[in-house]
Amino acid sequence: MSEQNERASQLSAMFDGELPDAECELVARRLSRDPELRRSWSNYGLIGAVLRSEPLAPSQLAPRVHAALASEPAIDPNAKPEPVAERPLHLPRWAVPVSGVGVAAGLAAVAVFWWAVPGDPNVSTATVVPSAQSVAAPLIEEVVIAPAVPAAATLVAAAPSAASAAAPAPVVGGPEAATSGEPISYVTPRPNSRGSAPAVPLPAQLASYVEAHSAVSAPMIRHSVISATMAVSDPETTPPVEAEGR
Amino acid sequence: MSAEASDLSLVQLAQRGDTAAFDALVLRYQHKVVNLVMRYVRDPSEAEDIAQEAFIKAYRALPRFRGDSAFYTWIYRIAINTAKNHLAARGRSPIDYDLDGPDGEVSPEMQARMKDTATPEALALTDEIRSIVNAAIDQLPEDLRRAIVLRELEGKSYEEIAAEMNCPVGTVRSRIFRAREAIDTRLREVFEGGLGRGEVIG
Repeated sequence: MSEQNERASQLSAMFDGELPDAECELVARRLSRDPELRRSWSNYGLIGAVLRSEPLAPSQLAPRVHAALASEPAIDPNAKPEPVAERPLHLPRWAVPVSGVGVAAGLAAVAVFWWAVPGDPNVSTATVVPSAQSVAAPLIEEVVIAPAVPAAATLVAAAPSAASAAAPAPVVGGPEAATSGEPISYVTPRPNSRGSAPAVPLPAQLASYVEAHSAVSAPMIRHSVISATMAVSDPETTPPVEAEGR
Repeated sequence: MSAEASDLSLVQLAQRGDTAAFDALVLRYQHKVVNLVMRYVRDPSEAEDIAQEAFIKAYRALPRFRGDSAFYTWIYRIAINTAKNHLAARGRSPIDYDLDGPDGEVSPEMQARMKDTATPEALALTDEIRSIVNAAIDQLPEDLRRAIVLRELEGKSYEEIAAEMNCPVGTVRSRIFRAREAIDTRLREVFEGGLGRGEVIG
């Protein structure tokens, strides 16, 4: 078979969709360059239409399309499909301020965890008290943080004194604390028996922080958090964290 | 290997600005598109206008064609929408679908109605082309005629034809090509004066 016949044979196979994919691009290039091949290609379509008794396209259709496309702007070879535009986040109008509060609460929670270093009462106590006074002042009468070390005690004891006189703090620290008149602590546990730095039960500390910072939280949620935490972190029944880790 | 792959090669060339590649796609599908449009309008000149508009729309939309579907599916969809819009703009309804035969084949009644509206020149040309092709097919050797008929009329793949004719697939490919070449040569001889269909482009 001559080279010309071989090319025409490839063209015929391509018309039938029987040419290997790897050869299609090459034959397509030849087809686009060679008018004689396009004429054969056109007649292949004609033969099929006659055999199937289909109506034939008017002979001037393809030339008319070709002429019309000549006046069309050329296809930009470098054009790429339009990128899919990023869809903006559509929130209901009411959800916009709520989402802002959510972000703020998330940041506050991160900050709390960042500063809350278990086992270091100097840091934890000193950071909680100013926040409690400035953000959730009405709650101070409930959240009374006992001094863990003398330095922290001076910061804490002054703040709740007036409030605690008007509304006594809930008794949660055990019988001896309830009767002594001292501020009651459910945050700072007792020093362990070995005299090392007091271990702070994490759930209790977290509850205290949430309580102090949750200006927007519902009262019922606050109380349920506190109640649950107290049940877990009662120093009489819950061993210190440090002991648990051993 | 598939018709999709061969079409996609031409589409990709056309997307890179090769209008001759798009011409090849038009030449390949013009009869099928006109056949499709004729189900909506009976006037051949109207069908030609709609088919032309469909191809131009396809060309304009070509940069957005990503090959998610076959090209012929895509162009058929464009042609149908163009025909429907054409009718809607004129407040008309599609012609009776009962005129279509099974599997979209054009019924004799449909062909008769098409002849009623075709120009004498167009009819004469169409009839002449049909007679030339049919005569050329009749003159083919039996194995070539059978191969081309199985392919074009029954739509069988080369592998199926090879099984039916009990010969290798390469032989089927060669027989179909030789059949087409013989008919193509005859058409060129008759229409060398300028009525041949493919010569007007390029």
